Amino acid sequence: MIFGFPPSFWLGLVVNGLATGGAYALFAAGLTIIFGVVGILNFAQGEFFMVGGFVAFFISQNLGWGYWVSLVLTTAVMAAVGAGSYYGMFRRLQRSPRAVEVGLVTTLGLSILLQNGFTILFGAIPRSPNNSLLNDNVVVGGVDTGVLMLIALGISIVALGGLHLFLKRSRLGLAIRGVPQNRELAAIIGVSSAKVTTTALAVGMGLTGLAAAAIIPFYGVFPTMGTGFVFTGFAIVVIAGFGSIGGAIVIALLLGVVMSVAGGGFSASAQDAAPLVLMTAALLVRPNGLVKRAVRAQ
Amino acid sequence: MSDTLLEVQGLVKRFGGVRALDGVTFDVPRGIVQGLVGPNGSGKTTTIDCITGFQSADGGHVRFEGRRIDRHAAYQRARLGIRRTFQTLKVFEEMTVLDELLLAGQSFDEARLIDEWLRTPRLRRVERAARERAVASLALVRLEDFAGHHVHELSYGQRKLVALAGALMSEPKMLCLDEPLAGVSPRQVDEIVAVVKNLRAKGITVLIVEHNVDFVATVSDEVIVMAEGQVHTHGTPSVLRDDESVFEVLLGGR
Amino acid sequence: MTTSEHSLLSIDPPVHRGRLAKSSGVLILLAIVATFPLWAGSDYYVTVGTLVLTYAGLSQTLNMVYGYLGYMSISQVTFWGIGAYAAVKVTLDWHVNPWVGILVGSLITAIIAVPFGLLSMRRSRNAFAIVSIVTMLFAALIANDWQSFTGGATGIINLPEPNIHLGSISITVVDERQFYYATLVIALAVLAIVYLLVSSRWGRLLKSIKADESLSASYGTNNTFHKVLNLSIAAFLAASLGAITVFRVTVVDPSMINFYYVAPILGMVLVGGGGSFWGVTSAAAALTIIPEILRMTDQYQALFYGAVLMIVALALPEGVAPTLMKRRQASLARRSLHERRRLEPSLSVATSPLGDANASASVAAGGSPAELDIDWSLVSGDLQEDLT
Repeated sequence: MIFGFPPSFWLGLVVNGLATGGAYALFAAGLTIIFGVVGILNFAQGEFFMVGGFVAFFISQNLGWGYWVSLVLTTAVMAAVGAGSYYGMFRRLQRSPRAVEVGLVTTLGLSILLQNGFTILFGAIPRSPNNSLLNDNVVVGGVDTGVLMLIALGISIVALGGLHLFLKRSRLGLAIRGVPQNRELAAIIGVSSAKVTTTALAVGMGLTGLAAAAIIPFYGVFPTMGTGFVFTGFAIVVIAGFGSIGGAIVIALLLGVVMSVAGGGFSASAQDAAPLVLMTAALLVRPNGLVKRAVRAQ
Repeated sequence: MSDTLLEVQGLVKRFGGVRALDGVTFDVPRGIVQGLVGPNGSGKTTTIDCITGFQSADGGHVRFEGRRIDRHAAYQRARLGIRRTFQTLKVFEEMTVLDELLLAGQSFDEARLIDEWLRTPRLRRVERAARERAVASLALVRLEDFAGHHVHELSYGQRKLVALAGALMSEPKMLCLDEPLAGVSPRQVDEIVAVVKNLRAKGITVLIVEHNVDFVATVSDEVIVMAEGQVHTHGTPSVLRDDESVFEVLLGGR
Repeated sequence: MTTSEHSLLSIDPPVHRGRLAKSSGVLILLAIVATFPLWAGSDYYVTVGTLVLTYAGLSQTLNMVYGYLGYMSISQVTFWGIGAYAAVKVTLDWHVNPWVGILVGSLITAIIAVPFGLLSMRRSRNAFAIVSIVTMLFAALIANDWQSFTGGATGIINLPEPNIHLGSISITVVDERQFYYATLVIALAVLAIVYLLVSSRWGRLLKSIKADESLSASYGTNNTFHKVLNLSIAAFLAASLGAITVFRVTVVDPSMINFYYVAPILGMVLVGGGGSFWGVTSAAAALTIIPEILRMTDQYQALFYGAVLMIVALALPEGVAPTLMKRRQASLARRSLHERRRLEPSLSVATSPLGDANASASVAAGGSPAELDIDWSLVSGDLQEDLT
């Protein structure tokens, strides 16, 4: 017995933590990619996540096409939204001489608009799409956990794997990794063109949408669901260092576990406080992020 | 008062894999004009940055008036009496020349924050004195007539002189000039020669980094030639004329 | 008389002339504000007035940090909340008059701001923005969860009235009108302090730090010290406003520390123009009154502010006031050179809230002080810009 609970209980929390951690990882990876290429911190990322959740709900519930289809379609829809947001907003922001502050304020404004808009349209009460697997539990290695959570975790792993391949092997992926390393050089070579940025935004938003679609059956969907994610997401990005995608993924998984353990085993406050405590600790120890090769923030 | 104003010992500075400074050592006696020349990449500006606190060296010491300053922040060194100009001209363009100078001297006078906030008589006294000093500084660089102009109305060379005048506002003991001739017209070069000689007459020690070897030969009492992050030669300006190895260094690059 | 002295003296007459006009304008405004509850009509309007005062003050504290120093300080709302809690705790636990509580609570908040500033202001502005947002959420969290100290989600209710009993003087502060005056006192103090500070030589120093930290360091400025001092003072002022607000609503709870307050003040600073004192004040008034006139509910209010933020950030990056000012300057530039020479020193260009494309950025240029006056506008000349 550890702290009054059997080991299997803790392991269960760990697995659940990995499931949400996987979603955090997709989210944080998207955030990092967008920040790396666009150069702007997207405070509305959480709201895009929320929109993704609503889209997924619509597809799986209202249209009745179910979980698996919603995963694919939501990703596609959000990727399109991401690409569109370049022309709608981000291109304008990039051109501004004080991109940092302009971007911050604009995305903050957008986030407020989206959150309140959706509250007005759909109400604040959480819903979740019907899913036959929702109440199924499975015992794996002595650990009792929800099937859906394992599936969500699996999806995250697959998606992250795909992301890794894309970034390492494809030309666009390489370009996306290259821009944050040396923005000036990239601009000179012409790398940070519309195509690269649009792709980065599409990938970032797509991942975010996927994360939402994967977890709404057990997480629920509601207009304010983005806040928690963006708060944790930014903590992750700060801890990992602003440019490191890999670091963000690792930290996200870790944080997911920590939060799950803290929340399930101790208290809700501990769960909420975990990202903050870790972020403060990281800032004190390594002000520019834990991952060494991380790009210095602008 | 010691004869040596600045001592630089074994300065090392690395940027990634490159050793920009590889053990730089020299002394600057009080009251002279010290020229610092060398090809691109020899580490001249980095040396100045390390002396004035805008880069921190990875190794070695810097001593000013016998005291080690390599842990001091840039602003602290400015307050100790080491002022500098920048290679890329740095000024506040929207200000008037006079205001720019007042700003440059603001942190050095005896007015406290409270004086500033409450506009005490002491502040007014201090500002009046500062204004006089500013006019005097401008006279030193022959720009007295431009006090009321906005900085952006001045030519590039004139702005460089404003920056210089700003550095003089605090009555520095040592002035580091980083490429004062860069971008300046040939006519204005003579102005700057006159200014430097004027500074020397006032007892200000000057350390000049420059590409223009003729200029350095004209104004300097001593010359340091740098190459590949180290001091190659340290002597009188005649080395620029007579020393073969110096020629090679300056013409050959790095 | 040298040429330069002559040109300095020649700027005096316009300064004098304009100052009279401006001073009387301010006095009239003060008179209106001070007598407002007497002719306002209903309690509702008085409350709106109180809200205007509160937001005017709070947005100026943000202006102080963001407009003059360039740091997007979401943490102003954090300080406002911490100040509210601190004031209440001090009042209740030490059994003192609420006004004492407000003062001490604000001091405590200012002190808390110091380590926060030291930790966060050394990094890039991006990092500072994130850290201040995350800190705000952290503070809200603590307020919500630390049941024993803060009263948890319900907070602390039934706060005492901030009455004043000094010897024979007895002032009750209970109804809307009385609270209007209580808020007025604090808001005026906040505005006056901010104005005094930013229009001084120190304000110019702050702008120079914002414009180019290396250059200001080479000018002997201890950047970190001034940044943290600025933040700390802004925290003190925001705290005092938060404190009087909770005494007015007689409850302090975690909803004080919320994005609900962030969007309006950001909008006010951006619309008014960061670095422009009067611009921000007017914007604060306008942006508080508009939602009220339109009878917006909470959600729509949030939509309104969100939209304002997006529009102003994308379309008018410099804020309304500086844009208008630039147009005025442009039209003035068409006058004769001689006239322009006379007027120019008293014009200033407030730094745009979102910075300049100009690499060697602009710092508000003030006319050099006339020797004989008590100088309001030693540096930033925000006063002067409105009159020419």
